[in-house]
Formats: sequence, structure tokens, C-alpha cells
Amino acid sequence: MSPLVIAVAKGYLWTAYQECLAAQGIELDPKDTDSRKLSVRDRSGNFEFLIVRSTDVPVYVQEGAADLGIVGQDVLAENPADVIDLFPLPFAGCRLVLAALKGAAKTVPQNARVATKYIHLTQRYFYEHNTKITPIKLYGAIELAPSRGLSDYVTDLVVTGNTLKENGLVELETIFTSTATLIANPMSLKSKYTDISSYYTQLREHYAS
Amino acid sequence: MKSTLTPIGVRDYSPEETEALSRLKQEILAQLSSSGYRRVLTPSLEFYETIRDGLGPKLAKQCIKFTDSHGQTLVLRPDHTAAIARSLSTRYSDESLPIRLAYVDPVFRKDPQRGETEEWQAGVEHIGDESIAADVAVIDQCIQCLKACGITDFGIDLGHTDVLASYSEDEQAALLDGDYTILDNLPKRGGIECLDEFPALKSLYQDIQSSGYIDDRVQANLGLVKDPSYYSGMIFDVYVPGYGKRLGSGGRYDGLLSRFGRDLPAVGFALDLGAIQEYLA
Repeated sequence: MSPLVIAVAKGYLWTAYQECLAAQGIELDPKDTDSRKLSVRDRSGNFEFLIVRSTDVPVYVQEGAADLGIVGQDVLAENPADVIDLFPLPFAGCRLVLAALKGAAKTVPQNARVATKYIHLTQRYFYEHNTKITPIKLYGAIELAPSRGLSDYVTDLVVTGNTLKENGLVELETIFTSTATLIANPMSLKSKYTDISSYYTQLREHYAS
Repeated sequence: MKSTLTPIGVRDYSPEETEALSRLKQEILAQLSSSGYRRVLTPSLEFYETIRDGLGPKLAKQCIKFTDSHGQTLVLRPDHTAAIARSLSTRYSDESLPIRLAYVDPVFRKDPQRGETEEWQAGVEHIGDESIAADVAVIDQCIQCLKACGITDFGIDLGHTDVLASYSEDEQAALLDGDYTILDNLPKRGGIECLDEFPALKSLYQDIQSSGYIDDRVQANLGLVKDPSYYSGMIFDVYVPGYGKRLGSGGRYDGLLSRFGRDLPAVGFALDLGAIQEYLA
């Protein structure tokens, strides 16, 4: 029998998911998880995990290179893919927030410059608020942009919000609330229905108790 | 040097690839022709205003549009069924029913990731027969075409628009969007035991079972949903284990032809020849 292939976003999401696996009795070899291996099988051989960049998880799943994926809802919303979103998992919680330097107008004026990693979600938010903005795509250190005059506002992912505060920014609004979620390839959901269904039930029962 | 590449969503075929594609087309056409389906051609260009009536909202958004010399909006053929439904409004008025038509040609669509695409499809339109027997015949025809392509380990998941209609409005929108997080359970998939609440799908499934030529590769799937503004009864998807893309799909769309002035029931399927070729390679 071929294993269920699960693509997992590397970093804190993979770490949090490993705790979930351990609690469900799905055992990994510590030699594997401590190493830089990109794919790991559990001891039973029923599961194979692909440890990939978060934004690549929906791609692996859509293309059928993985049957399932564990990824942040923020990543899935920012990178829409032809996958089935099965079940939200209560870990890796975070928020996408709108922030600015102290003293900035609470209502974002037309044509304001907004620095963000999340262009799609940010544009959708302002579109819904009938505000035309100029997005500025950055790949990191978003908090720096307003103080350097690169942007008037930022939208950024926060867990506690401390990094924003440390950089003199004030949270104005939560745009999107996210946790991890379990996604599936639509064809795997047919060809491996029994395996996916039993893992889905196992996860639900784990988090219900 | 100037770029010599094509757009991402289209491709050249080498002589070998052309030969392989031609062989698939011939096998499928030979099968369809032996069952009384006659091949038709529709133009690569259509008026958007006209063809749009035969497209669901998602497909309408995927149209590749441009303007003709008179300022009218044209589209590259986005869908065979809509084009054939349009052609029915001015043709075939004297023919006895059912009308069995086949096509093997590309469709052109915008894909969010690949941009403007060209995809080869082969399929049928079975027009003027609202019976379950017609549904079964079309699924059987699809299976015969897969076998003609040399694919034997395919699976077919069978659904019905009644299943989606049994959900609340919010749940329907979520399911169509691939969002199952709104549900308390994974939709059931299996045999006749899942189907007590859906008599139309149950009797279709029973007919397929008793027809004998369709085996346990056909499963009922209560999670299979398709655009209800287009489909109106039986729906199905074709897949093969170990390959992540759909090989084809089909269903019944009894309301479609009336949008072009011919009030006739219709059922059909389309196979994705690009996916089949990639799978077989």
C-alpha cells in the first residue's frame, strides 16, 4: 500500500504538527526530524511527510505531488489553489494586521502606500473597504518600511504583536485571522478516500477531546 | 535576441508527441463512431454575448476575450458543450432524437496560474434523451473511450446535483469553493448504502450496477459537486490512482440548450487529452 503523502510547511508549523503527530501515536524517527531531510516516513510506513516552504504546500497538493497538506490559512488565502480545505487545526495561530506609525490616520486615505508580504489579501481588504491603495511588495522586515518613508502603512503577520510595538508601530485593524489547516488534492480524496477519511476522523477526534 | 518561446499555457508538439496525440484522438473517435456519435466542428471564435449564456460563472470569467474589427467582443472557444448547444439553435431540427455528437478539439481558457491556455478535449453530447438509460450510456461510453486509450485502472466518482441542493445556501457556496471546513464530517463515498437520502442518484447507481458492464470502479461520492447553474442531475469525475489531476468529467445539463432556444435535455462528458497523455507518458 502506498503511504499518504502529506506536505507540511517547514518551521514553526512543522514543529507544532509534530506534537500533534506524537499525541496521535504517529511516530517519527528523531534521527530524521533532527536532520535536514526533506522527506520523512513514520515508523509504520503509512505516512510520508514532505517538509517544504509554506507557500509551496498548496502547489504540491494541487499538482498531486502530495495527497494532503498542512499549511496556514493565511498562505492558502494568499495563494489560491485548486485544493479541498478539509479541517482547521488549532495550532500556528496568527493574524494579518494593518499597522502604522503612531499618529497616522486610523482611516487609510486613498492612494496610501501599504507595504506587505500579503499583496492579495491586502488588496482584497482595501477593495472591500472601497479604498484604492498602492501596494508595495516586500519579502521581510515589513516593520521597517514606515519609519524609513517607504510606506504609509503596513499589513503584517503577527502572533503577539510585540515586534510591531518594538518598531514603533500601532495595530489599527485585524484583516485576517489564521490557524493551520488540512488540505487535500481533489483526486486523492477519491483514489485514497478510505485512508484520508480515517486520518481526518482521527484528527477531528484528537482535537474534540 | 528576441524570445522564441510560446506563452506558458500553450505548447508545440514534436512529431512523436503529435503522433501520440493523434493516436489517442483516433482511438477515441473510432470508439465513438462505432456507437453512433458523429463528429462535429465548431469555430475557434465565438461572440462573447452569445456563448456566455451557455457558460457557468466560473467559465465565463475564464474566457480569453478580444475585440473584432466592429468593436464586438469575441472569445476563443472556451467550451465545446456551449458551442454545440449554440449550434443546435439553427441546425438538426429535422433529426430524430437522441442526437449523438462528438468532438475532439481544443478549448481556450485563462488559468490563474498558467495564463492563457489551450487544452485538447474529446467528448460527446447526447441530446434529447432525459432517461437514466442515457446517463448510463454516456458513462459507459466514457469508460469505453478510456479503455480505447489504454487506461484500465481508472475510477469514476458519481454524484448528483440533488446532493448539493440538500445543503444550506452557505454550505453550498463553501462546497463549490472546495471549502469543507464548514462540514462536521467528510462527505460519504462508497456504494448503494450511502444513497438512501438521494433516490435519483440511488436509482442511477442501481442501473449502473445492474447494467453489468460497469464494475466497482464506479463509486458514489456525496462530496462531488459541480456548478448548479450549469448541471441539473447526474455528474461524474474520472481519475486514476497515483495521478493528481482529473482525466475527465461529465454530467447532465437539461437546462442548457433552452438558453439557445432549443428546449432539449442533454448529457455528456469531456476527457482532458493533455492529462491523459501526461498520465500515459
